[in-house]
Amino acid sequence: MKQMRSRFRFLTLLLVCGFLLALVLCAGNLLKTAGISLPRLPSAAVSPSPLPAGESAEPAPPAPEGTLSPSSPLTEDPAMETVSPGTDNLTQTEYNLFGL
Amino acid sequence: MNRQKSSGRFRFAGAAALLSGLFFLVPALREGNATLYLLAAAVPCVLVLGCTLLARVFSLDRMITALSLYLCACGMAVLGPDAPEEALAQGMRCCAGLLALVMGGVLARAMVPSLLAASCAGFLGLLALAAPLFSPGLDLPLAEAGLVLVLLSMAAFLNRGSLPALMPAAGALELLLIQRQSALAILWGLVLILIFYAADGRLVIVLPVTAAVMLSLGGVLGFVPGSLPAPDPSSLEALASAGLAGVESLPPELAVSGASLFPPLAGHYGLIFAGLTGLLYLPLALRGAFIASAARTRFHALLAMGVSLMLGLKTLLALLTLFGALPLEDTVLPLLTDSLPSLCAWMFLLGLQCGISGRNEADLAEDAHLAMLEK
Repeated sequence: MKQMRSRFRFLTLLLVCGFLLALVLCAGNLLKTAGISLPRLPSAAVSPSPLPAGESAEPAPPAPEGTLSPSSPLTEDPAMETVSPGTDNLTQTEYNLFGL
Repeated sequence: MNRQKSSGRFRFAGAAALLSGLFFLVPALREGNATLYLLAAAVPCVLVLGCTLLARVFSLDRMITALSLYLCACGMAVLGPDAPEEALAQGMRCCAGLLALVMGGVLARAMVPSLLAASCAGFLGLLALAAPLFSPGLDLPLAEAGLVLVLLSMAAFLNRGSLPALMPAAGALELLLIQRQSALAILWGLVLILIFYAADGRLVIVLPVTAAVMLSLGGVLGFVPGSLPAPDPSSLEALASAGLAGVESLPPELAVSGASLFPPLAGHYGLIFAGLTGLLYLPLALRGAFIASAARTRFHALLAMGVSLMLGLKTLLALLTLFGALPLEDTVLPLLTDSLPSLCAWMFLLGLQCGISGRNEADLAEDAHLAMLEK
């Protein structure tokens, strides 16, 4: 029974670590989805969906047909919107976590 | 020390009762709905009576009773603002769950881990798991109830030795895999490995069990197409749209769908409250682990630990799936569900832990009495 109890203590520790890890993972995923990055948090409170560095807020000039500019992810084709995972929060609905 | 412990638990029960009353009182004052007023009065009363009178009469663990009743009240609070009649129906389900909790407590104290009891529990559990295979039209979710019975059987068999417990355990895992219930299969596989490690720490037992479970899970989930759904970012996006303090009117993506009440809970009350509610499962699981460590018999210790592992791992898997970290289809947290069989199964499991806790206290009281007699 003593050995079993020490194994129980180990399993309890595993459970606690699992919960902490899940907390970190879930918080990280949530912040990523909301477009908030922790180093830029003070500016994120003002503009919840920060743009990548070097990008302007104005829409990029229309690219020639059939070509996609890799450096301007904000270019939109109204006829065909392709949303790649993880980047749609830059162009579509901004998730306002803080209710502002 | 006992007085300090019990005053702490009473404080939690009081705080839980106050909060659960406010869940319904605030919308009741806003809308003037009679059903909400009724719930605002009834829910705190049931919570306080359950934690005090019921726990005393049936020797249930007060902390587990308070936490589980509070989580049931949270489930009702999700439905209250939009559909008070549905919240009342959920209240009736929670009352049935409370009955299951009491039955679990009584069974834990009365059950003798005989070979007959183990075999019967195992057989009934496997039957419940296999029921959808025999009658495909059966819409009743009996998987969790089946796992409860198989866990009872496993704990009773492990009391005698490791090998007999493999039969119901492996049978349950294969039945879940055949029915493509990947989330429950992963949960049961993890519980199996950890329970066998807890019961018999020898590598000669643990390694083959681990290898067999990993091969079964990997074989079916890895190679059978469609066993694991593609990762779905919509649940995470829906949760992110809830904000920290909730939204006034619930968008369709946060409405009650399936049996999971966690997304609408986040929608109504915000991510902070939902996160704190999710964290309440940790003390629930830890209390069960403490009860397991304090149990006098191997059967009760393994049963209590098995329940803690099932509860903790199910919560973890559901939360990780909801927040997009795992590609599983099951996003239902224990007790935060509107499915009656699932709610009763989880309350029954927690009742087993309450009963084992009551038995521990009875053993302690007997020890104290014997020590006094010797003096």
